[in-house]
Amino acid sequence: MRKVLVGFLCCLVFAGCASQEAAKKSEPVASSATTAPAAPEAKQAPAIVESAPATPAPAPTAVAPKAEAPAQAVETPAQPVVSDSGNKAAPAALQEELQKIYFAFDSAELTQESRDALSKNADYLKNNTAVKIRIEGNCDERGSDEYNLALGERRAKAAKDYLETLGIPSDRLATISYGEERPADPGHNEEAWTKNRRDEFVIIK
Amino acid sequence: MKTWILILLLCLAPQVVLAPPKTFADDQPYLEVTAPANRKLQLLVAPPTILSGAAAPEVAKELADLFSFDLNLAGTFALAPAGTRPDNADLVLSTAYSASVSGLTVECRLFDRALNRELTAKRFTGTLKDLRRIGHAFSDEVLRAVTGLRGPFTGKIAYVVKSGRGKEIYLMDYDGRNPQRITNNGSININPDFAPSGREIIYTSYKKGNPDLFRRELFTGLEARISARSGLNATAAYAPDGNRIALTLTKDGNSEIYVINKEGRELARLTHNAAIDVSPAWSPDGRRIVFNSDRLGKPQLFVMDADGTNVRRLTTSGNYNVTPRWAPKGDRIAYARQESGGFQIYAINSDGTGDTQLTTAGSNEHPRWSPDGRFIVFSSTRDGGSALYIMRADGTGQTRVSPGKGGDSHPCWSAPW
Amino acid sequence: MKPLRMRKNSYPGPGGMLACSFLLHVALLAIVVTFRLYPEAHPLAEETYYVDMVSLPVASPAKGTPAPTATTQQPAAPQAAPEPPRPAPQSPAPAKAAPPASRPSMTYPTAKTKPTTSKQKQVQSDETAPTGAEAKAFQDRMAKLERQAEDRRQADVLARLRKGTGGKKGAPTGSGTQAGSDYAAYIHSRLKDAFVDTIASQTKSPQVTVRLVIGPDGRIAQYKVENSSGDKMFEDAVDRAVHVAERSFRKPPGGTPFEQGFVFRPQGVGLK
Repeated sequence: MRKVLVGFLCCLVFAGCASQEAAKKSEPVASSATTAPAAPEAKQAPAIVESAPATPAPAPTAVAPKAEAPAQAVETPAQPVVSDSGNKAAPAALQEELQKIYFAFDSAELTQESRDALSKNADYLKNNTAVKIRIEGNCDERGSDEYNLALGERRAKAAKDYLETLGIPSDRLATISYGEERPADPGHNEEAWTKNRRDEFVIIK
Repeated sequence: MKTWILILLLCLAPQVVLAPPKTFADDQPYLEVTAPANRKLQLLVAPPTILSGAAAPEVAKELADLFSFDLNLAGTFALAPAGTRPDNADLVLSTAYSASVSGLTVECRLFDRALNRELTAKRFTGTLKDLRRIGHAFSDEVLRAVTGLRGPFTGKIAYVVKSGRGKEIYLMDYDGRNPQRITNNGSININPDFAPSGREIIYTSYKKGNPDLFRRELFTGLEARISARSGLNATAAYAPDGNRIALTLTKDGNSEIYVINKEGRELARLTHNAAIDVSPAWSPDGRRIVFNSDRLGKPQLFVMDADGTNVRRLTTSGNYNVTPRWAPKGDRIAYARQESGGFQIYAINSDGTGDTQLTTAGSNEHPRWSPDGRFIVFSSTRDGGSALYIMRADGTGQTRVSPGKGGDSHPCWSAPW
Repeated sequence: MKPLRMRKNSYPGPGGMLACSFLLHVALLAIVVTFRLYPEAHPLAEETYYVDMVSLPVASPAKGTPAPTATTQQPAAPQAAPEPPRPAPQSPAPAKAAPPASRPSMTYPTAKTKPTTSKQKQVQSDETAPTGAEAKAFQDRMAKLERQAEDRRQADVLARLRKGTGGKKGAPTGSGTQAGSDYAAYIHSRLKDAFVDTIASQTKSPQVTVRLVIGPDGRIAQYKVENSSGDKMFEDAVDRAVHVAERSFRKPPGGTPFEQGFVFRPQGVGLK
């Protein structure tokens, strides 16, 4: 009895193997193990007969590339919408009173220096209750520009949160991130990078 | 007894039915035929001939140069030097043209010498302005005929050009010809991405103040602002189905990845994390998203299911890995890693194995795959200003394609036009 | 001894059980032998067939390499085949040299049973000369084979001259009764020559299995791709090789169609 069972199992195992083999093959071959080659299948044998040299007849497919080109519709220079990080309405003198703050590389943490500067900015905002500002987060050029968009946003947010803890209502504080798109110093050295990792505080009203 | 017969039959049936297909006579084993593998197909670009009318040497030269450039870049062939006898090539690409003021006709053929037959032939008609497009279209066709996968050479590349204090979106042929300005608003326009059809782009622009997401039809110039949520609407990526867009929004106070539809309606928020989450990119089947997050301290790449679940870390080496892009075949993810002195482009298997550095010269960023997955286009500073380059997926054949002197970045390669 | 009480009706008794068991075993053995269902992962890779270059029936091939050895860049002349310095002809042939000497003709079954060690030695000898007694035995054997091959060659040439077909260099010389092996080796070498000039691929380890039927006219009557790793460039390269090779095919001996399967792959790939 055991032998039968073992035989059965063996059969199953081999059956399994066989089916695997069969699955691998894309087209099963006529399994003529010993017979001489049968009549060749007509459907096979692509171009085995000496194919006639390609005739110089016109090409079989004719494709006319579509002539359409992208609409030249280039935007006419829009109104210079983007604030040039300064607002002409706000007197330069007032703007000057708002201090920038700076950050370490890949960091949005406020240093003690930054906190001091933010305290002064908060004092200014308390004395000028009509003023609304936009906090602009910026980064240096070294990081990834995509990542820096988020990092700039986080830097702006860090300053906003701190100003709020100092009592400035959040509706007077807008934020925007320019990532690394608006360097204060176009240089490519540590000095420029230090200046560029910053928050600017722009009076918008 | 019946039972036993049944069992016997059961045992034998699979053997009979599934008789192994590789059966052969005992005295006929398969013979093995091998040859050294380091051989490339020899392709001869024959000098274009005149179909009718007058000779136009500049047309002939432009066509021959274009085919040589495209097919050399493909890496599939060894181009036979000009003047090679056709007998010494596997494939002969022959062209005949007739050019006049009124129109241009180009007949292109790819002849296989060993098989002694044409693999493909096409006849194009157009105007002289279409010359390069015709050439690229046949280059695409040559790759299709030889490899089974169409070439990407008729695709366009959208990219960002620095312009004064702003940045504008441009469009060019894949080889840097015909640069065309798409935006002209003096503001910052960044992160262009093509719809799968290649006929639309989405991009982020500050032109209305806030970094909002715009969708623009390239042929009509029609444009819509599809996401103007407070804060960032940036690093947007079209899903392969062309209906969804993954992007970074900061409307909820922190940069998170969301999915919106083409019209801008929010479909889902995928990340919930105090860290930065940016630069989502879809897998070709649309089921997963790779993105960049600094949730573990430094920017690294993570993969999640398209519903935001199942997040796992992809990159484990390097301190600063960004801007991932999934290959069209789905196996590889290209990204940029910051190292001393700038960025280099790497590619890694989507399961986190096989991390490979592809660039070394200068600083190289913004890798994007060609729609067929053969190439990666990227921006590099190796020659001074930032310019666009193309390389094969394995990092070979790095070639500059930027038309400008510098300030080109953020390329994106469209499907064939 | 009553394992299946429930089915006592159908239990065939110990004798029947034994018969069943025996039948099953025989059937199984038959299946295994017939279909070569040995539990090997890659039987094709293991069964690679090698022929000593010196034992090839092709006297002076019209072009290219005559034999399916591991290296294709070998010069065509059989004398230049494996490199060990020619030993003194009269050195005593050890027992190891016996099998090849007693080999009747280059038929496949014989060739297939050739120990794989011989193949390894051959490969090895391409780079460094074998050392020790083994090497000596090998060299002796080679010398003997070469002598035999030389004799056979001369006999062939003479026979051809007598028949007036001396111009057909490289033609197979088998008669109808011994069709197959010589002709197979001949076709094989033609394919190999052609494949060197057509190989191209776009994947790392492509493989294509084809079955050729060569009609009595020496043309390919059937070209069937039985299996492919899916590399179109490689499939096309095989197609090219077959078509190029076909131009130099002779008619199969005996006027009967000749059928043979071939596995194409890049050198060094898929072999262990």
